[in-house]
Amino acid sequence: MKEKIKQISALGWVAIFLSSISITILIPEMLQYFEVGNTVEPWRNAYRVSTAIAIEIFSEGTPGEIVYTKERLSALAGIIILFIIGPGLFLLCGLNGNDEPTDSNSFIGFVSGLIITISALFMMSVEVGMYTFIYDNSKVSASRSSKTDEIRLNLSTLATESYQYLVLPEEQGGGGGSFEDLHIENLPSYSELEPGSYRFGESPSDTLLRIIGSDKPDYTAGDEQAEEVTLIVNVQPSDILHWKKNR
Amino acid sequence: MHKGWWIFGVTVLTIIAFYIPGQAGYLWSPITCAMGIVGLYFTGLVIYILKMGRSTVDRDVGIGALALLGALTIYSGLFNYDMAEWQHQNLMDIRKTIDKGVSLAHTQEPLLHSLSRFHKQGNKSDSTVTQIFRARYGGQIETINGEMRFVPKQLADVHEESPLFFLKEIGRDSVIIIAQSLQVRGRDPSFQNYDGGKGKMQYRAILTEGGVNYEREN
Repeated sequence: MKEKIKQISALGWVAIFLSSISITILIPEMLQYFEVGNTVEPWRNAYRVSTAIAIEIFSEGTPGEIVYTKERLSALAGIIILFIIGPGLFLLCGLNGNDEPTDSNSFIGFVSGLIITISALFMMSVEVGMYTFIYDNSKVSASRSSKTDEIRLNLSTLATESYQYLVLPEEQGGGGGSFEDLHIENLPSYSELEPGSYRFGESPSDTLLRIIGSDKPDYTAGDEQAEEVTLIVNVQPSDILHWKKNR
Repeated sequence: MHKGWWIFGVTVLTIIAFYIPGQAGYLWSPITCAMGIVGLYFTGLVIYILKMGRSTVDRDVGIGALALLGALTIYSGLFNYDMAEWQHQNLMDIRKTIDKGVSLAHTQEPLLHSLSRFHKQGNKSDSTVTQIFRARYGGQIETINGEMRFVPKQLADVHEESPLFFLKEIGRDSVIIIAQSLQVRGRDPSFQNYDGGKGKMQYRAILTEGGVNYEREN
């Protein structure tokens, strides 16, 4: 193999690297253009199928017995080309014991294998580098969105409990049309919530109740104070839930 | 043996291994099985390199390329699997929050408004709380497949989608609405849901003169 490597000129190496980069970029583009897939990187295809199944469960409750032919064939083709044919040609042709320059078949096989192997290394490196970044950003964004939903749901529960207190007469444990004697600790769902995250705000009258929910997302990317999610809901006789702010 | 036959043989074995776990659904098992064959193939190539390599360059370049490719592949597999699991969990959490929120909103709002109207009558109660509910929300009650369903007007266009609202009882003194998710699993997988299914998240809201009791059944 050492002799074969020496046979490749500087221009040859440039051509090999450009070919590898082109393959890395062109294969996904071609698959998408001909609508036969998206990538030959096997694990990425597994991820795409998992995403499709997760969406199916999200909307239908259970996954169907779908074959996902494009992803299946792309993954299999990727394994065969990138992990079997590429390294096979590179090493078997590179080490086949005949390093004579005249052995052109062996040399072409070696260079072809080298290009595919470098492409495979590029693909896997780009995959790992790019998606690590995307994954992290997705987690930050999803975590914030999830915390907002959680606070909104908890505030809705506190608001409905408060509204019930408002409308029930005093002899039945309510406020008889007023929030005056209501404390957040007395609401049934309060004990199940994150301590200190929910409180009553200042209110101009005893028939208007302001509830504030504020908490940090579980996964943040930097200044946690700046990342805090705060929602405010007003409860009044005419309106169980009146959202005031979403920051 | 000719090198072409090695590559062909491994390719055939890989295709067989790929299709052993099945031909539908997730790809994790098929790829893992196929990668198992690739792992054995790489081991064979390493042995070949050690046997046939005539210089340290041969060994370093050959084994180095295989090791790097193998390491990146393992990392990529674990990373993609982790990302897929997280995404699945995230989608289920979103679904859970949506179903919880919709269940709460569309049971509490009509029941609390009915309760509010009932107590506004004061001492001269002309109507019971259930009569008030029926008068105001009767138009949103439908009978579908023999079941009495409460179809909030905001959900009229999507009323076959999760969560479903069943009017379990509308008697003299109480109204019972069941809100059941079609997707989200509840706490007990063996729980018998109102629609006959099993293990899904379910809430029950009971309206009486004394208030609205809203609780999670599963």
